Amino acid sequence: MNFWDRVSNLDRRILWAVQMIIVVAILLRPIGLPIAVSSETQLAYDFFDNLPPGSIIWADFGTSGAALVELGPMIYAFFTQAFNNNLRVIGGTLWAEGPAIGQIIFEEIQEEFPDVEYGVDFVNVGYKPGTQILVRGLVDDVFEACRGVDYFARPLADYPLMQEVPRLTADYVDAIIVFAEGSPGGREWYEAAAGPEGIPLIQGTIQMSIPEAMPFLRGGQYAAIIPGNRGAAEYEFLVGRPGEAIATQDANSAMALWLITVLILGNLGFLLGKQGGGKK
Amino acid sequence: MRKQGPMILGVVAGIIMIFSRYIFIGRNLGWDSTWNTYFLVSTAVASGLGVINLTRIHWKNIERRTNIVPSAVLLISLLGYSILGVGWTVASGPARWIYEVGNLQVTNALFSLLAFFIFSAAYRAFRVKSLESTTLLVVAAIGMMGTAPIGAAIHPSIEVAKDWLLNVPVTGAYRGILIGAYLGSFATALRILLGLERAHMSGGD
Amino acid sequence: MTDVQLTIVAFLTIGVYTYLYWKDNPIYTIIEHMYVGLSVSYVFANTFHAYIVPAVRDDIVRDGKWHFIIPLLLGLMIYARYSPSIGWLARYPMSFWVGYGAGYVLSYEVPVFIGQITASFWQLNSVNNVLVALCFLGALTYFVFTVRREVPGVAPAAAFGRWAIIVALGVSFGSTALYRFTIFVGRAQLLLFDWLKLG
Repeated sequence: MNFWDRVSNLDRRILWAVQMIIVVAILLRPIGLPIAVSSETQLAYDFFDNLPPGSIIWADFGTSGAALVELGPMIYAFFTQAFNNNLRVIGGTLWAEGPAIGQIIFEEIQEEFPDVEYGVDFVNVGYKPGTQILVRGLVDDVFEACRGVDYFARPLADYPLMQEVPRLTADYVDAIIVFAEGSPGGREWYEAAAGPEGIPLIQGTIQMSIPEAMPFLRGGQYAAIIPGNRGAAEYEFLVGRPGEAIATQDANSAMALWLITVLILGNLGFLLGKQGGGKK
Repeated sequence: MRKQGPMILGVVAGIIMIFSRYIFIGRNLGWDSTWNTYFLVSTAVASGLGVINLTRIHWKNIERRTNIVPSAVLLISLLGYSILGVGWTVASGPARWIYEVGNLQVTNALFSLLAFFIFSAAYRAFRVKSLESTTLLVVAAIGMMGTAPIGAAIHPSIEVAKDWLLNVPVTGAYRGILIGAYLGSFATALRILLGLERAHMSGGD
Repeated sequence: MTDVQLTIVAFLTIGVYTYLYWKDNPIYTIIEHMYVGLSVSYVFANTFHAYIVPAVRDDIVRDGKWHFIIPLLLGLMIYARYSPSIGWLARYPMSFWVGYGAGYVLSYEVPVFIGQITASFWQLNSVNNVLVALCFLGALTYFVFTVRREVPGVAPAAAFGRWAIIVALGVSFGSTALYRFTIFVGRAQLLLFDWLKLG
C-alpha cells in the first residue's frame, strides 16, 4: 500500500473532524467576505418594495425544521420589509410544521415592530392538509377551505384582515410568496392559484431546489425567486438587517473549499494509488 | 359494488373537477367548491391513520420483546403528544414548547448529518473515471464556488459562469425533465379516469 | 427559545451526532424514535383542530349542515382496512382522493405544461435562448423511448440532451452540498453562540 492508497482509504471520521474544526474556527473568527446582490434577489426585493402600503400578501411558510437555517432568515427579512412598508401578510401553509415556524418568527419580529398587530397586519391561518386541492379551495372561498379557523383554532371572521380576503384571487391578494423547502411548494401554488388567477408569485427557495425553480423563473411563471441561503443573506443586506444568513456565508465558503479539497484528494488517491492503476 | 362502486366515485370526482375548470356551467354551479371541502375534511379524518399504524407496529414490538426501549419511547411521544395536542392546542403552551425542542430542532439536527455524509460520499465515490464524471465534478465545483462568496473573491468569472450554467443548460435540461414528468402524470391521470389504472384499489378483498 | 430549551436542544443535537462515531447506537435510536412519534402526532393534532373539530362542532352541530357527515364518513371508511371483512370499504375514500387528484392534474397542470413549452420558443433572439431551447429539446429527446434512435437526428439530439442533463445534475450536486453545509453551519451557530454564548 503506497502513500496514495493510504490517502484513498482515509478514515472518513478524519474528514468530518477537519470539517467541524473549520466551521467552528470560521464562525468564531469570520472573514467577512463581500456579498454581491444577485439579480434574482433584487427582483424579489424590488417587487415588494413597489407594492403600495396596505397590500396583502399570502405567505406559505412551506418548511420543516430541516430548512429552518435557510428559510428562517429569509422569512425574517421578508417580514422586516413587509412591516417596514406597511404591507399585510396572511400565512397559510401546506407543510405541517410551517405555521409554527412562521408564528415563532412573527412573535420575534413583533418586538421590533410593536405596532404590528395579530389579526390586523398578520394572520396565521395555519396548516391545512390537501396540498393543491386546498389551494383550489382557497381560491373559491378562504373561510370554507380553512373551516373558518386560524392556527389557534380561533374564528377567522373575528380578524379585520381576513374580512378583506374572502377569496384567494387577484382582487383581494396582491402577491403570493412561497418559502418552499420542497413539494408542495411554488409549483402547486402556481398551478392552482397564481397561474389561473393572475397573482404574481415569488418563491423563496432552498439552495438545493434552485435548479428546479429555474424553468419557472425563466418561463415567467414565477415573478422572482430568493435563491437559497445566499439569497437570504442578500435579502438581509437589502432590508438593512444583517442576521443569521449573512453570518453563515464565510463558513459555507470554507466548507465549499474543503469539499473541493476532499474531491481532489480522493481522486489523486484513486489515480495515483494501486486501485486506479498508478505506480504499483 | 366492491370494485365498481369506488371506481365510479373516483371517475365522477375527477370528471367534476375537470368540468368545473373548463366549462362555465360547471364553474357557476360551484360543484368543485363542495367537493373540495369533502376532499379536505375526509383527508383530515384519515390523518389518524399514521398514529394507528405506528401504535400497532410498536405495540407488537413491545409484545415480542424486540426493540422495547425505542418502541416505548415512540409510543410515549406519539400517544402523549396526541393527547396533549388534541386535548388542548399545539399552537401554544406546553405542546408548542415540546414541539420547538423535540421536533423543530431535532429535524434540523438529523438533516445536518447529511453535511457529513456528502463529504464521505464525495471522497469515496466521486471519481474522474470518464469525461462525463469529470464534467459533473467540474460543474459541481463551479456551481458551489459561484454561489458561496469565496468564488467571486477568487475570481469574478466563477460567479458569472455559475449564473450562465443556471440560466442556460440547467433551465433547458430541467425543463425537459419537467415536461417528461408532466407527460407521465397526464398519462397516469387519464388511465385512472378511464378505469385502466386500479392499483390504488388493491387489497381489502 | 429559553435557556432550558436550548440546553435540551444542545444535548439532543449531540445525541444525534453520536451517530457519526458509533453509528446506530441506543442514544441516537431513542432520539430518532421520539422524533417520529412527535412528528406524526403533531400533524394529527394540528389537523384535528383545523378540520375535524370545526366540521363537527360548527358545521354539523351549530349550523345544521348535515351533509358534512358525508366527508366525515368517507374519511372514517379508510380505517376499514384494519378489518378483513369490511376492508373493501377503504377503496371508496382512496378512489375518491386519487380520482379527484387525477381530475386536478388534467385541469390545472395542463396550462403550466403549455406555458413551459411556449416559454422555450417565444424569444429565440439570442444565443443563450436558442441554447435553452436546444437543451430542452435534447433532454426531452433523451427520455423519449418511443422514437427509435436510428431515426435521423434523434441520436445526436439525445446525446446533446445527455450532456445538458449531466451539467444540470452537476449544478444540482453543488447546490445540494451547499444546502447541507448551511444546515450544519446553522447547528454549529446554535451550539456555539446561542447555547455556549461564545459569540
